[in-house]
Amino acid sequence: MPETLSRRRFLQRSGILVAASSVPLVGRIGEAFGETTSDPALAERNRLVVVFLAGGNDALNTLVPMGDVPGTERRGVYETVRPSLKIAADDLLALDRPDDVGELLGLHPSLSRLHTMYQQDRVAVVPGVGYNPEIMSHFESTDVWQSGRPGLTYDSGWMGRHLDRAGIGVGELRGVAMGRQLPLLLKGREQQGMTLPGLPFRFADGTQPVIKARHTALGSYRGHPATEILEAYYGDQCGATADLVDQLEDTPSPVEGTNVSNLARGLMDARLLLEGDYGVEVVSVHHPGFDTHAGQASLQAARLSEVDAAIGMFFDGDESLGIPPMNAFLAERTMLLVFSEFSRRVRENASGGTDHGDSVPLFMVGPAAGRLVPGLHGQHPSLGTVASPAVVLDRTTDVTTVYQAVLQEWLGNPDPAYPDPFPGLFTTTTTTTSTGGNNGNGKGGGRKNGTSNG
Amino acid sequence: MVSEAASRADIALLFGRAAFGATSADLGQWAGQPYAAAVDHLLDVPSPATRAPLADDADRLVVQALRNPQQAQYWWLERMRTTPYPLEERLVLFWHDHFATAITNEVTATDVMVQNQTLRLHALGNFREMAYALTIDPAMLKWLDGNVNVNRQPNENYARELLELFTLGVIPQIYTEQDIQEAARALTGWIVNGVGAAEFRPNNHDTGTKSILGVTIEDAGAEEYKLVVDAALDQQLQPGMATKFLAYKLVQNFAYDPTSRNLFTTPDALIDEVAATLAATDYDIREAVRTLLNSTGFRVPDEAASTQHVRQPLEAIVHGAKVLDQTLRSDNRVRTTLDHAGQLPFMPPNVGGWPVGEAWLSPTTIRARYDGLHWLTRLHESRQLVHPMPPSADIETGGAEWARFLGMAGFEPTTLAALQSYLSSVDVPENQRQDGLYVLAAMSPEWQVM
Repeated sequence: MPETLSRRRFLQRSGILVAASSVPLVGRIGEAFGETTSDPALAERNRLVVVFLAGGNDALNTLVPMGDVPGTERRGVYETVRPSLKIAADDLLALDRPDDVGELLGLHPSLSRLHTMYQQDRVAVVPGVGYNPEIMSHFESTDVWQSGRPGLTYDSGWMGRHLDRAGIGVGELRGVAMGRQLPLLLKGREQQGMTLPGLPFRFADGTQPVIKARHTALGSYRGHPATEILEAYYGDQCGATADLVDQLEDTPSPVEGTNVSNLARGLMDARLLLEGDYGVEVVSVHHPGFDTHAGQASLQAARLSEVDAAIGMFFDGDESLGIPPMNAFLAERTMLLVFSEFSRRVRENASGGTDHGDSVPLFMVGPAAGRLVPGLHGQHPSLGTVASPAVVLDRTTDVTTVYQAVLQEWLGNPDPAYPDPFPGLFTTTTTTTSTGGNNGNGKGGGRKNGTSNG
Repeated sequence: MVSEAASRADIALLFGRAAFGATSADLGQWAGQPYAAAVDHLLDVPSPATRAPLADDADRLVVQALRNPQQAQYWWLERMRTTPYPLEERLVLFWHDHFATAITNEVTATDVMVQNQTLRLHALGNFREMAYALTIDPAMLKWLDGNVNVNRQPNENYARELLELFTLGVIPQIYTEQDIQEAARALTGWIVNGVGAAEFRPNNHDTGTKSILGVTIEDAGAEEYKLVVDAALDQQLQPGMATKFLAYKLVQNFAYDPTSRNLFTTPDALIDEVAATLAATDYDIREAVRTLLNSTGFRVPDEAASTQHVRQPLEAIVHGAKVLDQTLRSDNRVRTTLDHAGQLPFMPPNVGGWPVGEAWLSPTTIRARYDGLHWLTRLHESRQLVHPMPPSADIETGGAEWARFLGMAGFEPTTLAALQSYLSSVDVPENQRQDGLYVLAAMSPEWQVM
């Protein structure tokens, strides 16, 4: 397809919220909305929140070897090549579910709420997720993870293509990026998500009728002649902006007046939208600051604390701030996907940091009584031996197989260009009971019980 | 076939893309003159190294010493608005985007002000000299860990971005991880000393032989960093790569986002024109920009092929302030809208710089552009008698005065209809009508996308 033609289609948007047709239902945070939504099908479907840690989070200090699994020298290598960055085994939060405990892995001490959720069977981890060939550039690797098209052109995101296949209904705010810029993740070839910096969303000149006349005029730039592509796109965005203000100008953020991180704010504003009747299905948030070439110990601890607090608040609320847990109806249907564009070198550098590496552990956090199969999946990358340590964490699982599992099993919309889904991440039927401990449902291949690959 | 004489639309476009926008005085002075003469005028900038200081140069040194990010931003916003050399300043913004460096806990406002003046010194000079200077610029040394890059344990951060972002690009990628490591070795030994200046420490320098992009580099001590830049700019693995890449960045920032990033398999005529000038002049930026601005590919946007320029938030706000003769100094509300629009000076989101084209446009950033213009009218309220906006009645008769006021040739019929509809729907005093018209006219597609 000639590139000019696809570019023209790329700029034709229809994912624009139309005012007036759906009544915005934004109650107090935590209230259920399912029974009163305008479209029960929208209420029932699963939601996905993609949390992107920008900069290349150091996997080896996030999912950490606590000891030498027989046949490996993992902990020995770790302690040898990370003299200043190594975390003592006693300080780590052990992944100690019976199926996982043999892997002798623990979480960074900052991830306490995530660890608690893990012990409640609400977290799955796939280490060693990556693609071929490895790319250590932030921008290109981010493009690969967001596009889900390693080795091909990065013209769209894997969530954007989901929106293409599924379509966006009138008045449906199906894909939302919290922040200022729409990430590649949510750009399709025909459809795209919408950005939202936060709540409330209103113009600075206020809401008086004579001022709203200006906003109406701004919205009418949507009618700009379509022959001038970029001007027409700009005009469309003016229309979308006026519509969105109309919907959200009287909706405050649930964390208004608090000191929470930008990530927490983004996730909590997203939660309010998820709890309202907007048809939100996919949300993207990102958190920068993980490119720890120097001074990693304190930087990563701070960033991971923010991630931990935000994820905890998103699902389970925060008593001190008066935020209740997510209502059960929504919580069962919401899953977080947490990853970074690459991890970092096994060996630390001379600046108390680490340089760019390869594969990442992908975390899936979600339904307490739902279909996510908790615990470790796949295969931890080899760290080599003390005599010959690995340079990077090599890929053991292809990212497109994990994406396909999410698309097919969670969103019900597989990508025809993708390989078969990574097996065993989801149960095939919705379970309503899940006791802690040994959950044998649906754990298929790809998981090595009792043996490890170093 | 474009005429030698510039039309008003020509001047509106030229200044709109390359000089932070035209005022009605600019239109009056240059419409009807030879287009090439207007280009020459914009490029006729004496070197900052030798010219008499501008009115705000003394202030620059004061602000530089303050180490205050907001004051640094205010200083530069005012420089963009009031400089007699707007194309120079437009290029300083381009170079800031190209060598994107942001204030952090380590990189201070002083550091970026120093870098800013370095960019200005070379803005219309020679790119090779620019790349040399930026490699040992204190802000850059801190930003990309050059100042902790030592022979005992090299740090690759700057070496990687030098090749990927500053000189060669990645499509196609002609350098290897090995090249990056060798370049890092060659760049060892630089620190930022106690008074914030770059200094070479021989003890930290790797004195071995390196091989970068097929070029063997023997130890050259404090001069070796230049050889690394030369290895990239003069590489022969893919002749024309560096000039094409720089030309691509210029076209993308001043004109349009090329549809293909692979400049060899899908060439772009304008990029090739600019690249040819860079090659023929060994990286003379002034001549390359002259070629760019005079080219038909720049002067006549092909709307069907989407060769228009989405103006950056800074371009829009500075132009908006220029036509009102409204200072940008010390107003935090306008400054904050620049943040929300995605472009605070000295705060690019990462080393890859700011977005391009439609990536600038989302409800969030559209709202921020609107809010910024609104705050400009609030600032301007008390100055209406001295620097009046045109009467709202002008819109009823076609809006010629308003268009001229905003440095445009005219309004699109759809825009005019929107403005007329706004006027007929409000019953407010004249100054409020004018404020509303100003914001709406400056938010029109033809003003924001040129």
